[in-house]
Amino acid sequence: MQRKTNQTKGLFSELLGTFIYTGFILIITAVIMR
Amino acid sequence: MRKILKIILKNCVLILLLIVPFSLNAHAAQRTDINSLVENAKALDNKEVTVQGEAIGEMMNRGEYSWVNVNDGTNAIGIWMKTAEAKQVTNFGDYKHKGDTVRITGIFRRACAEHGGEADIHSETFEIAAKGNTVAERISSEKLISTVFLVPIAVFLFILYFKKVRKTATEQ
Amino acid sequence: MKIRTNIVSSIEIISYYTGYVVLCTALLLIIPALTALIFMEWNAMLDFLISVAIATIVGIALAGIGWRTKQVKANIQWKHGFVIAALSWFVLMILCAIPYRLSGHIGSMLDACFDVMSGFTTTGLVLTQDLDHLSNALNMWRHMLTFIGGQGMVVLALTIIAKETSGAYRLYVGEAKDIELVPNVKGTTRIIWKISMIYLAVGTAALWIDGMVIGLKPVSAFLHALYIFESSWSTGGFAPMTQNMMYYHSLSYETITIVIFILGSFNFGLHYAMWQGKRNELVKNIETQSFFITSTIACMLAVYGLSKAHLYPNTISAFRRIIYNVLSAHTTTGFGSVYARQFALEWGDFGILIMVVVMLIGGSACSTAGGFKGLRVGIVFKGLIMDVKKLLCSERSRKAYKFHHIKDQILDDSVVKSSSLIIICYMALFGIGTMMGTFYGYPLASSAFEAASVTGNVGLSIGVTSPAMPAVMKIYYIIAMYMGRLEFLSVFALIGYVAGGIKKLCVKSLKLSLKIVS
Repeated sequence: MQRKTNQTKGLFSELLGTFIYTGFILIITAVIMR
Repeated sequence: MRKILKIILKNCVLILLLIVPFSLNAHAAQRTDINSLVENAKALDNKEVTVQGEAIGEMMNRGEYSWVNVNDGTNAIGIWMKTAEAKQVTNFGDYKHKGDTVRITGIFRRACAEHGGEADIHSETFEIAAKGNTVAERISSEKLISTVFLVPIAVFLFILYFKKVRKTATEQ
Repeated sequence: MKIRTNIVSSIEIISYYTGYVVLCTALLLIIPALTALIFMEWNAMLDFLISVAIATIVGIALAGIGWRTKQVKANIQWKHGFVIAALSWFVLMILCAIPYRLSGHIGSMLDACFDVMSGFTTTGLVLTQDLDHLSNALNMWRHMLTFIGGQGMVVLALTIIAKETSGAYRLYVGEAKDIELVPNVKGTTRIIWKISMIYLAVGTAALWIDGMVIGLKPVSAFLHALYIFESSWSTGGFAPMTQNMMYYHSLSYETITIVIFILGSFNFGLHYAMWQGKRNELVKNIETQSFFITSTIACMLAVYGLSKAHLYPNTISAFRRIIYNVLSAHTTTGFGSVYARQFALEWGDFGILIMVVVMLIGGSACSTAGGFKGLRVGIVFKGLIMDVKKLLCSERSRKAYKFHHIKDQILDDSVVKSSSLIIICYMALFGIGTMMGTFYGYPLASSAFEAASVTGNVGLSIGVTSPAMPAVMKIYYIIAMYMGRLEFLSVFALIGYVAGGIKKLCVKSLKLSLKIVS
C-alpha cells in the first residue's frame, strides 16, 4: 500500500516538476520578447 | 464619316475582346503550390494566395471558425475558415478515401500572430472544385497468394518450435 | 541418455538468442495485422500477415541453429551480449521493413530500412511518402516500432524470457542501458516496462481527451493520442500526418507533448527513484541539473537571437515555434512545429547552430533519448573543474570529488575518460556526416543540422532527408543512427567479432592449403 502511494506521489511529482519547468521557460520567453 | 465610325467600332470591339479575358483572369487567380508558399514564405507573407488541394484528415471545429488541412501533393497546410464553409467538405482524405478537392483564396501568413506563429492561410473565398470519394480497395493477387503460401508454413514451424521448447523444458 | 558435447560454439549462442529476440519482435507484427482487420484495410492486412510469416520463419530458423545453447544451458559472455544486441537490430531492420515496402508508400527496400532504423533508434526522420493516406495498420506499426525501439528490443525479449539466465545482464548492457535498478536484470526490465505502461495509460488518456477538445473525432483522437504518446515518450518524433505537430494547431496538444517528451528523455533510474519515494532525485541528479542548465541557456539564446530577426510576433508564437523546437531537439524527440525548410530559410545560422549543439548534447543516459547524454556532459564539465581545482590546491591534500546520479558516486579519472571518449566518437560520427553532406552539395549549415539530427537520434529535418538523397548518404545515416543509439560499443564488438572470425577462417584455410601442398 505504501508502495502504491509512493508510486503515485512520484508520478505526480514528475508531472508537476515538468509543468513547472515549462512554465518557467514560458516566463523567460515572455521577458526576452518584451 | 461612316467609314471612320466603322473603324472606331471595330477597334472598340477589339479592345473589349482584349480587356475582358484579362479581367476574367484577375478573378481566376494564379494557383500557388503549398510548397512554394513555404519556400517563399517571406516574400508571400500577408499576400493573397490561391491554393488547391485535397482536404485531409478531418475538420477541427474551433467555434465560429475551423481548421481544414489541405494537401496538394507538394506539401500540406492548415486553412482557417468559417465553420459553416468547412462543413461543406464531406470527404476527407485518408487510406480509404479521396478527400474533396478544395480551392481556397486567402491571406497567407508566414507566422500568424493569431495562431501562435504558425504558417497558415485565412480563407476568404472557398469553393469545392471536385468531390471526393471512397477508394475501392483492389486486393493484390500476388499478396494473396504469398499469404496463403507463407502463413501455413510459419504456423507449422511455430507449433514444432513450441513442442520442442516443451520437450526440452520437461527433460531438464 | 545421449551424451551431448557441452561445448557450444559462439555462433550457436549468438544465433539462438538473436533468433529469440527476432521471434519476440516478429510476433508483435500481429498487432498491426489486427489493426488492419478492425479497420478493414485488406491490402495492409495481407502486408502484415506476410511479414509475420517471414519473420517467424527466420526467427525459428536462427533459434533452431543454436538450439544446443538451450539444451546445454550454455554460458553467455560479454562479447556475445554485444554481438547479439547489434545483430538482432540489423536482422530486425530488414524484416520490419517488409510491410513498409509492400505498402506502396516507399520507393525502395533501402528507404524502407531507413524508416525502420529511424523508428528503432527513435530518430524520427521519414522517407515514407504521403503519410496522410497511410493505413491505420502501417501507422500503428511505425509508432509501435519507435516505442519498442525506445524500450530496447533486448529489454523486450528479456522481460519475456521464462527463466533467469546469468547472461541476461550481458545482453542488457549490450543495448546501452547499464542502470541497475534492482539486483536482477529481469526485475529491472519488468520495472522499466511497468513505468512505461503506466505513463502510456496516463499520457494516452490526456492526449485523447485533449484531442477531442480540439475537434478530433473520438476514434481518430484515440489513435492519434496513442501514436503521439508513443512518439513522445520514446522521444521518437514520428507523427501520423505530413504536417507533424502542425496538423493539430493546438497549444494545449503541444504542451502535453512537451511534458511527455521531457519525462521520456529522463533516465529510467530517475523514474524508479522518484517512484520509490526519493522525490528530491529530480533536482539532485546530475543529468536533470545538466539538462536544466543547457536547455534554459539554449532557449534563452534562441529566443533572443531569433527575436532580433523579428521572426515571431509575440510570446506565445516564440514559445510554440522556438522553445518547442529547441526542447524537441534537446530531448532528441524531433516533433516539428515549423516546416523543415523554415529552419534553413528563416532561422539563420545562429538559430541553426543552437539547434546543432542541443541535438548533440541530447537527453539522459539509460533513457530513450540520444546524443552525448547529459550525464557525460555533466561529468566532463565537472571533471574539468576538478582538474582546475587540483592544479590550484596543494599537492599534499587528498580530496575525493563526487557527483550525484541516483546515488553519490566518485568522480575519478577513469569515469571522466570514458565519458570523453564516447563524446569524441559522437563528434566523429557527426563530423563525417557533415562532411558527407557538403560533399554531395548541401550547404554547410544544412549538412551540419541533418548530421546532428542523425547522430543524436533527433529526427528534425532541415530538408536534406528525402527519397532523392544519394544512396550513400542514406546508408551512412542508417549506420550513424544505429551506432549513435547503441553507443558504439555493441557495434564495435560486432565488427571486431566478425573481423576476428573472418581472420580465423582465413588462417585455417591457409594452414589447410599449406598442408595439402607440402
